Amino acid sequence: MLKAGLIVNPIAGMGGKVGLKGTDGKMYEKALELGAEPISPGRIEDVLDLVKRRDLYFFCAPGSMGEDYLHGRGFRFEKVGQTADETSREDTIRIASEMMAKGAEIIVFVGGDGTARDILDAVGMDVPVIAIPSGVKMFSSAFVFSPHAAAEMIDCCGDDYTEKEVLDIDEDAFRGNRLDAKYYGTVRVPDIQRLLQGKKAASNVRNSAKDKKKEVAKYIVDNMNRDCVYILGPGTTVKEVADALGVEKTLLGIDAVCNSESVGVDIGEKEILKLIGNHKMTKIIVTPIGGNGFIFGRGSRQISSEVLQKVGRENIIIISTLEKMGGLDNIHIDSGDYEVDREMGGNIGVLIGYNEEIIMEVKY
Amino acid sequence: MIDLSSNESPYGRSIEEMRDLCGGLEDLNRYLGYGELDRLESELAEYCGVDKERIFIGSGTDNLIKNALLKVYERMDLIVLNPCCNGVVETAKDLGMRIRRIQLRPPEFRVDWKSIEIQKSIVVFDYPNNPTGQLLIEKDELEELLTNGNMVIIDEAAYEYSKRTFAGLVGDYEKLAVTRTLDKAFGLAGLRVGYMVAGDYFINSIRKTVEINRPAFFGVINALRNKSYLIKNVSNTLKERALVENRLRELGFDVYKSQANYLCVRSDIGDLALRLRVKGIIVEDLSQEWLDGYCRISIGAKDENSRLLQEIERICR
Repeated sequence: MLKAGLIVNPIAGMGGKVGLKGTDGKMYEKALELGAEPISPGRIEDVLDLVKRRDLYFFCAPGSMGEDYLHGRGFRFEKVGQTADETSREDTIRIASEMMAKGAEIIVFVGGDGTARDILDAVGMDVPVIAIPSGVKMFSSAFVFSPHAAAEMIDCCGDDYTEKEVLDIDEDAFRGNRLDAKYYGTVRVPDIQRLLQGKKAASNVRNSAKDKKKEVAKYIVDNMNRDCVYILGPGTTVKEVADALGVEKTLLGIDAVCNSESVGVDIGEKEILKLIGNHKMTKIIVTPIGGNGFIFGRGSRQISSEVLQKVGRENIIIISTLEKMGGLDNIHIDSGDYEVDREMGGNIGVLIGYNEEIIMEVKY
Repeated sequence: MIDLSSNESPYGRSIEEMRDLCGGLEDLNRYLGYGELDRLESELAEYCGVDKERIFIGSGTDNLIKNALLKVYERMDLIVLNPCCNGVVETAKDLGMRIRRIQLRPPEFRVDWKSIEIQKSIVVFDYPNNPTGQLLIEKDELEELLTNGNMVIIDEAAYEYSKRTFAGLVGDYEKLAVTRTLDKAFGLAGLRVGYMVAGDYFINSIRKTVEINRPAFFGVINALRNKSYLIKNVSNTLKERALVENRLRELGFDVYKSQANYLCVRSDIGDLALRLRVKGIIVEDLSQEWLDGYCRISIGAKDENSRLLQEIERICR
């Protein structure tokens, strides 16, 4: 019998689709005002539905932090701790500590980088964790790359553990177009590397890499279609395309161009869907996150599964540099919709130079 | 400095042996002629078991492939594996070809050739693969590439270690060529002689020229006639490869089964290549252009391998 703690951050990831890049502090209220909907419940329900093993005994946090999702799924569980109506990071830390005291052998949690830091504060390296991504950023290498991977990890985990990093991302800096990622600490996770995402690597800004990005941008600009709207994802590589066109582009937000003119700056899912509806053709230009290779589902929730479905696999242009791609086994996608992810799967060419591509497999 | 980064033979020859090997020094005032080239082609054809007209001799494999690309590249894409030799990619770039790289992924590094759309392409790869040491294509996969109208150039630089070849197929497929070298198992890297066993399409497209020099000509002729160096080198290297492989595994490295004179290894030791370099040992660090933690280690002579393992043991402590 494996005794597992279950903690869900019910508001993690809500800022993503509405372009807030996080729900720390007052951003949660703002996300609600903008019509954001909870993401974590769906994530943990997906995981629990996929888990096959039944020799599990859950210590769960109350209500929306855990208990709600275990009802009716055939698992044995016990509620640990108490929370007020509105949950907080203090609840996460306190309940994780209580689970550890009760003898939890592993903590399964759902959230983003902020939740990972809270769990780390509570359990350190004493208890291993399975980190299910549901935040906006999720750049820490401790996370598995999808709910399917999380379920497989719960099913397969044994006695082998490895150490993975938890990062501290400055949300205000992130909103302000800067990625300020610091090492926060280390957690233990089951040693099944293929199910873990890598960490976000600092973007390579050496001159040669910059030249390569310019080469890629030139190829994109030379081959742009008239009247087609191009949705530009985050990152310095994609920003190079906007720079080549001479239009404004946020570094970490989603922007759009059409006929070499800006038609959207730092836009959310709704605005993207509107642009798709108003144009005959839409293409999405994205770059994989260095170190873990995510193209969708990390840092750019505005490009939702609905957006991807409407645009179609054939209209997704992935751009990068050989230095970044050569260091990746695969590209990853975790749009939140397994069927969409599956359609995106398989071999795909990533543009890494002028008329030069590397063929990578998209994993989901 | 111990150099285990270039897949060369670690065994040198004495001055006397070199003098015997590279005869003809008294005629260095004369160019090498087509008659002599013809003789060398015959020797290499016999070694490979093919007709003489299929043999093209050049100054290194890179140059042979470059020359082939120059003649046949029109309206073709270049397909290579990643990582790969940059020479061929640079040539393709200069020619304005579209370049497609196929990323190799651990642990099997298998290429699912049939799942990738490959048409009107020149496919260039190593067999065994460099740096993984694996044999990454089956005969039926190769035949499918060729029957789909692609050109395929296979670099069998480590053939003498793997004993696996597709040279026997060049008579059946006009757009297949196999390149080999005297640099590795024959221990003649300093002479830089490569050769191509070519299908009819290449024979009809490329003109034979004299690219090698007189010492190289004699060196190759004599090395082919007296294979004692080759046999001893390959036998020692394979024995040493097994020893290095086993010890590295004991030390906790991931060591991939190799068919060549090098090993592809992965370790959790950060900056392994740099730490070895500080100790006077050079290995090929693959983490710059490929995956973190991966190195390619050429198999050296016994004392070189012992030094390598000693230093790695110290680093692991």
